[in-house]
Amino acid sequence: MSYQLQQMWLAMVANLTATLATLTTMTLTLAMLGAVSLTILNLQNILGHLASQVQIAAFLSPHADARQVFAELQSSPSFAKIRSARLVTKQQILAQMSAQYPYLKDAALLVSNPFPNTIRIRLKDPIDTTEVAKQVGKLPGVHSVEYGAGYVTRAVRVIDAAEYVGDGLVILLLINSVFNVLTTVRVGIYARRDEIAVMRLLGAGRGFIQTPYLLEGLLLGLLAGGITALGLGWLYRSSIGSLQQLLPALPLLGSSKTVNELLEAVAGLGIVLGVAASWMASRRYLRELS
Amino acid sequence: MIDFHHVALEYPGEATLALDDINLHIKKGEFVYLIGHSGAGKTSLMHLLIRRQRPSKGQIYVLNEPLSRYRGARVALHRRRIGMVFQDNLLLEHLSAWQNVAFALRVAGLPKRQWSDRVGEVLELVGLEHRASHLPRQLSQGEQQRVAIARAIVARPPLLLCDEPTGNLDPDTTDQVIRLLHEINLQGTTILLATHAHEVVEHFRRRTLTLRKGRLIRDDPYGGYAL
Repeated sequence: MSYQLQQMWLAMVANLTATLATLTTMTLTLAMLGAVSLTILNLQNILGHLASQVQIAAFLSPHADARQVFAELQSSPSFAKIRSARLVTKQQILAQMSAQYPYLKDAALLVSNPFPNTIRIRLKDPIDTTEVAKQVGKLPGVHSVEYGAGYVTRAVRVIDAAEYVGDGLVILLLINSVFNVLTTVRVGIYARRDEIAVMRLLGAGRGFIQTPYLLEGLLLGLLAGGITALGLGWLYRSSIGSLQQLLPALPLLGSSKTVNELLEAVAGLGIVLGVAASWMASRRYLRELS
Repeated sequence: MIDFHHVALEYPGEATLALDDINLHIKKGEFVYLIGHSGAGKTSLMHLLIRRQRPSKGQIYVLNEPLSRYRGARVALHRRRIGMVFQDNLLLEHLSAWQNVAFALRVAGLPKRQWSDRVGEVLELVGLEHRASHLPRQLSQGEQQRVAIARAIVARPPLLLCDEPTGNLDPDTTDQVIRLLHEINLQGTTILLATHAHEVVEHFRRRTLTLRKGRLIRDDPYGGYAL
């Protein structure tokens, strides 16, 4: 193995420019991939938070039987999309509102309780808000519905689109990285083609010839992944606090276990990418040489 | 040691056969010359023996095993049992004479502790023990060729194939190299030597195979150069 490591080192030094170019590209690719993934992770966190906040309020008609409306809701097709539904009586609403705004209690004594019985609905997926709200609004006994006028749906769509764009970007970057490693290994193989020809004639197996290139891919992947994980982790942790102060309403992920796992995955991906690409390249170009 | 049964070789896109219906048998321990003009098929025959090419027709047996069955890793193992010397010595420029010879042992997977004795032994045999630390560019053509021979025999192959090993050498150096090959043959290694050098074939008479346009036209057990 010491010979293989020595050959790897010689190949890397002999093609230093290509090696550094690949290392830089791989690091940048992994950094962008990590940044996009962290953004997506935060968007998902925001989406999850949003989803937990989204609810539809179905205001019942004054004479509607709440139990009857509840039964209608359970038999409606939109029930499958509902995570929870809870009846809040007008007395409960008045009590809650009075706790926040004490003058309402006095006002309610002058006129009757102005609040309607209300069914508060939470959904499994906030994207269904508009559709479910419309169906609930058509149920007999429901006077009107309120659900945030569709901003939720738009927010969810924007976040979804951002995720798709991010995923697409990540795939393109990965492909770019693979091509970079392919080129580096190809340059290395062609630079040593005479030596490889001698090895072949002396009876060296494919594994013997390929190993230095696989080690090169492993080392490049390890370095790129390590630099990315450490650098991005430091950058994220040092900036997330300020960002959270700037946007207090957004639930951003701090230095959580999930973030650490993501950075470890990026480092691991670097190694897999380096080894897989150099394996493909060495196999292909060695066959080309023979 | 080597058997050819009705072997033909056709390169894609070429109208004529590189080798045509070759039948031959070389026994263990023989020293055989292979002669013929350029393009007669000498190198093609060598390439078949190291499984660099596959015959279009016929069967080849080397060390009593059919080469047609060899694929991938078995080809590599097969080549480790054959020493090869070429006109261009194919030494690795960045390695010393000692390292070039040891390289064959590394490829063959021999433990490092055995290298020193083996490499020293063959460098002494080719008369270059005092030049062991020199790089190829610091050696003369003849010395480089002797290093190549040392590399070819260091793993103690039973068969040594030499393709124009004296093609780039002056007459005195050629003489030294051929004497060295005969010495190696005397130690039991079978040698097949392809050459243009008629003075070699005439001076060191041995069995001689003559190729012309891909056909084996003469198999002279007493040797001599006649094309």
